[in-house]
Amino acid sequence: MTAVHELTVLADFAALRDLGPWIRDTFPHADHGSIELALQELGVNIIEHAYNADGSPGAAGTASILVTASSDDGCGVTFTVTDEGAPPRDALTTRPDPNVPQVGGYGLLIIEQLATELSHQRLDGRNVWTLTFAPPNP
Amino acid sequence: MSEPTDPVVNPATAANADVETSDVSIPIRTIRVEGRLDALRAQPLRAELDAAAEGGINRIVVDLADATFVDSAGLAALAQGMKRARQAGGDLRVVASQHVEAQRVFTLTRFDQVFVMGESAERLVASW
Repeated sequence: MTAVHELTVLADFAALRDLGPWIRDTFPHADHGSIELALQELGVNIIEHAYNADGSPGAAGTASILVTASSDDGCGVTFTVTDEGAPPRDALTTRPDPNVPQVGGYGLLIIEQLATELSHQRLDGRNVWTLTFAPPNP
Repeated sequence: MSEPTDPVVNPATAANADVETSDVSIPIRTIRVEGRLDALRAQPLRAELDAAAEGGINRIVVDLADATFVDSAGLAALAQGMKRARQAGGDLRVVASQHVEAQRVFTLTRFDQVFVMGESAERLVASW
C-alpha cells in the first residue's frame, strides 16, 4: 500500500520555505529541485491569485494550503495541492510568449515544464491541483 | 593618467569626440543575494532596486553566485529592475549562480538569454 504524506502550510511566502525540507525528508530519492520549484510556483500563485482575489473565502497569511503526496515503486511522485481560495481565471489558458520577455506570469509555464502531468479541478469550493513528477534520471 | 575610455562609460566623450573632457564615472551598484531569492526575498530586493533607481543608478549587478534557489517571483524582481535600468540607458546584469537549482528558472523561462550574465561581479562591472 502506498503511503500518503501530508503537509499543511500557511498561505504566506515565509511558510512556503517549509516545502523544500519536507520534500527532501519525505522523498529522499526524488528530483527535489524540480519538485520544490514547481510546488513553490504553485504556492505563490495560490497566495497571489486564489487568496487575494475578490470574493475568496480566506486572506493570504491566514488561510492554508494542504499538500499531500504519494510515490510509486519507481519513485515517481504525485502531489495534490488544495486551497480554499478563488478559482483561477485566465491563468490556466494564458502563457507568456517565450520569445517576448515579460515581468512575471511564468509560474504555470515553469510548472508545466517540470511536472509530467498538471491538472486542476474545482471541487466543493476548493481548488485541487494534481502534479506528477517522473523519477530522477539515473 | 589617460586610459582608453569606453564611450558608453564616458558619455561626455561619446557625445562629442572632438571636445576634451575629463572622465565621467558612472556608478555601478552591486547587490549580492545569498541563499534563497524566492517570493519572500523578492520584496526587499525590489526595494533595493527601487532605491538604486531613485538614486539615479541605472547600472546594476545582482550577484547570485551564492544563491541556492530562485523562483519566478525573484526572477520578476530582476526583470523589472532590468527593464527600468535599460529604459534609463543602463542595464541590470546578473552573476550566475554556482547552484544548478538556482539557475533552473532562468533556463526554463529563457531569461538566461535576456540578461547579460557572467561568472563574477568583477567581470560584469568590467564589461561596461
